[in-house]
Amino acid sequence: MTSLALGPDDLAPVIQLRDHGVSEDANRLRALLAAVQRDRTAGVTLAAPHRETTEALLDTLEEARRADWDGYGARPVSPEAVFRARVFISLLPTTLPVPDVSADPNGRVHFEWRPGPGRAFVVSVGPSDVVHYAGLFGRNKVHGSEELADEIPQAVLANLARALGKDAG
Amino acid sequence: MRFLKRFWRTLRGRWGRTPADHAALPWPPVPGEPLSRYLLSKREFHRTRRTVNTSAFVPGQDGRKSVFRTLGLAEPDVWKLGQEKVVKPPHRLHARADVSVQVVYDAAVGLEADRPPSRHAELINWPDGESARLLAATQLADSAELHLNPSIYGQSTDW
Repeated sequence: MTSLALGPDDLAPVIQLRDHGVSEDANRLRALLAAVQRDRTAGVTLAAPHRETTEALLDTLEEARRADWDGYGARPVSPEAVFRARVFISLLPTTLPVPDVSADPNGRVHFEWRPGPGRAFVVSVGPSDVVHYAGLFGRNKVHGSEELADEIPQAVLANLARALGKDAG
Repeated sequence: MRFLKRFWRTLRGRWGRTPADHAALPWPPVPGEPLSRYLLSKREFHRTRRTVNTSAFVPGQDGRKSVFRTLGLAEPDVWKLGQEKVVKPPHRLHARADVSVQVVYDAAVGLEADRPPSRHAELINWPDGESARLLAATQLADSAELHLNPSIYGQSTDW
């Protein structure tokens, strides 16, 4: 596992250098990256929730880019996971509250909403295009995995809205 | 849940003044017994909201999560245990997330306590599948009680 030194301005080049795929997935990735890049290079002002979530991601990476960042031997967050996390942020409806952002010991990025005790929704984003989610709604629970393509999966949005007790927008 | 917390506090009150002797730990661990996960990363908890993030309980690639049995320890000794057994420079002990053994079982996770008894134990036998493990970790985090390290964040009034 290679550790990375990332800052706000060098995430994109790191990802771009790895963009050699020719598959359908790679093309989809390239399109998603282009969308994120376009906003960056055009100086597009991010909506406040996206900006705050991106800053939280960068704060997380400041620590989790190193191996053993948690003191228990955690893996660093990979560039691929960073890329997916940024795509996920860019696709989030701006009407949603800003999630907590953290890394797990396997180098995945977590986005977590905690509206109150017994209510939580977490999305785990890693290097592949599959995101895992889990939600608590009082005594009810849900978990699953979905492919992250050019929009947030409906199952993720619906369950997030359920956890927040409102329409996801 | 409230009953478990009361039971837990009673146990602490009764045993808190005895020496921190791990030989006195029950075998197998009892449902109301407290377990502490020491948190060395600030991103694993929310300081002002006093909540623990799910990532704090997600197991590593080996499918295990290290915790400590703190039954019978006075509060300063719980921190001392983490400082001595877990912290290595440059890390700092920021906080700990406490859950009961019952909460672990309710999340369909197993507990393997060291034998002969020591303070160390591991959360094992996590559910199959990444999303199922994520749910179990979410349940643990939601039930966990966050304690900030008083040597970093000052004295709290939550215990």
